[in-house]
Amino acid sequence: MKRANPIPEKISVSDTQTLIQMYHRGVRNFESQSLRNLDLTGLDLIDINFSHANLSGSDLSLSYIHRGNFRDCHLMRSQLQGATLNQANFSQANLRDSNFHGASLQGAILCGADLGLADLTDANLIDADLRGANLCSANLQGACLRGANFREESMVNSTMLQSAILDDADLRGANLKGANLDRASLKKANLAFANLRGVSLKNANLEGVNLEGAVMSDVDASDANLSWANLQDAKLERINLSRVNLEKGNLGGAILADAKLNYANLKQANLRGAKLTRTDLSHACLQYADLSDSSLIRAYLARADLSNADLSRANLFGAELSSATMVRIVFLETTLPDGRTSSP
Amino acid sequence: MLTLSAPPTAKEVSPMSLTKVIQTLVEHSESDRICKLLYWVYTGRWEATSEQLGASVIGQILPALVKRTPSYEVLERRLYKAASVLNKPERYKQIATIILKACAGLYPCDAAPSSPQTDQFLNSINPEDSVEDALPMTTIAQPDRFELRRRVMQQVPPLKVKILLFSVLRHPFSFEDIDWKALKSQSLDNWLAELTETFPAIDVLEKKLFTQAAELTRLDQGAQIAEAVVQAFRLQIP
Repeated sequence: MKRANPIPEKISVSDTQTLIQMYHRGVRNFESQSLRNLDLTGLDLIDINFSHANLSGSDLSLSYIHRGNFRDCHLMRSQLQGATLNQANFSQANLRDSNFHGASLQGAILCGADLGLADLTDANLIDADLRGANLCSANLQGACLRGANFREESMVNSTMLQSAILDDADLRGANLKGANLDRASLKKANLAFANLRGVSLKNANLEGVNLEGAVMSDVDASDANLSWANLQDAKLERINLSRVNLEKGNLGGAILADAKLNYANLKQANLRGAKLTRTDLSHACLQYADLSDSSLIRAYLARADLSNADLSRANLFGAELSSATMVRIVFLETTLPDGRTSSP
Repeated sequence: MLTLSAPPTAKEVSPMSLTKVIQTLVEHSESDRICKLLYWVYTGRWEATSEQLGASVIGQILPALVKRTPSYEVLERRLYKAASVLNKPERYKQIATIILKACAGLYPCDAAPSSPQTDQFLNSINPEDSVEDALPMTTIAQPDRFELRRRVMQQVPPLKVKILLFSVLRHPFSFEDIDWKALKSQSLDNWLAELTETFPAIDVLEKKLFTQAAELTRLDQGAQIAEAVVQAFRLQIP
């Protein structure tokens, strides 16, 4: 229901006390007000309208502002730690360098908001709308982003998460399509079944990350660290994993058709049942890798090191293996490049 | 009913060394207090008189406690934390030290796999034969940290949860800079993990949380936060 605006044309809220008194009198609309450096700690300001207001330097820690309207609001370097901001609207707001530590932003709209350098550690961002938001160098360590939406159709407005810290973050089922996560840290984060189509993860740290069942087609993860990562059953068509560290990674059942894995470190990786059709594995280290039951049809393995790899029941039809290191390989019912099958 | 489902984690515990530790503690001049402290740590219940426990409690609880405790550091933290909340914390910290000294050999630094004999020995400990009657409380299984965190966060702001957990695990939160720094230095995951290590019995955990929530008047929604944490843990119990 739309509220009537009881505020006179030119009101001036200069201090916290005035704002509280007005709020208690039923005033909800503080649109375009200059409310800088106010202490609103622990206040209950449900449904308040701060759109286009200037709240920079204000302290809203532990406040309860459910469904608050902060559209285009200026909240740079503000304190919002522990605040309840569920379903609040922060679209296009300036939240740069603000503190949201342990805040609850469930279902909040943060489209196009500037959250650069913001502290969002341990924040609840479940089902938050973060499309087109700037999260460069933001700290999201331990945040829960389950079901959050980062997807932006236009690459120009893609969600920026460069150098963001997302260690231990919960991103299960999140839609990150097209987001830029270059140099981001996602150590031990949970991205199971997330949509990462077209994401840029160059030089990102994904050590121990869970990407089981994630969609990562057309992702550029070159030079990323994916050691101990779990990519079981992930869809990785055309992914660029050049030079990545995937030592002891789990890629069992993953679809890696047309992927680039040249110079990748896949030592002791689990690639059992993986689809590696036309995959570029040139110069890759596949020592002790488990490639049993994998499909390597027309894969490019020039100068790859396959020493001690297990190729049992793998299909190497049409694969380029010349110049690959093939010492102590386990061949058992393996389909060789010329179509013959190795004897058991 | 309590089950000892956690995998054996104390490495290379030979039956002989465990028996020796038990014997040392039983014969110790402070065996009554050792009994009480071990019983408190393991069950979350306090027995004022040692007669109700009997010296055999050491032999029953210690192997089970060692089995459920992944490292010496965790055992140390559990014992000292449990001692610190008692009426005579300094006295019981000394008792904790006695137990820890005796148990030091059970946790070597290297991560050698446990021997089959050890597993056999530890698995042979049947709580139904030994301490079942003394352990009516439900204990928290190793939780899925992502699920636990999500469940808690969905109910109450995470920072408020951290304030309550800090108050339970350290001291009532002062809202001063020093406490804010200490609070932020650890993630919610870590606070929740420490909570389960310190209070493995859900009933004790529940009591602690609600008591602290009532005392922490500056924190609104205290009871709601306590309830959210307890419910999240209860959902982890199979």
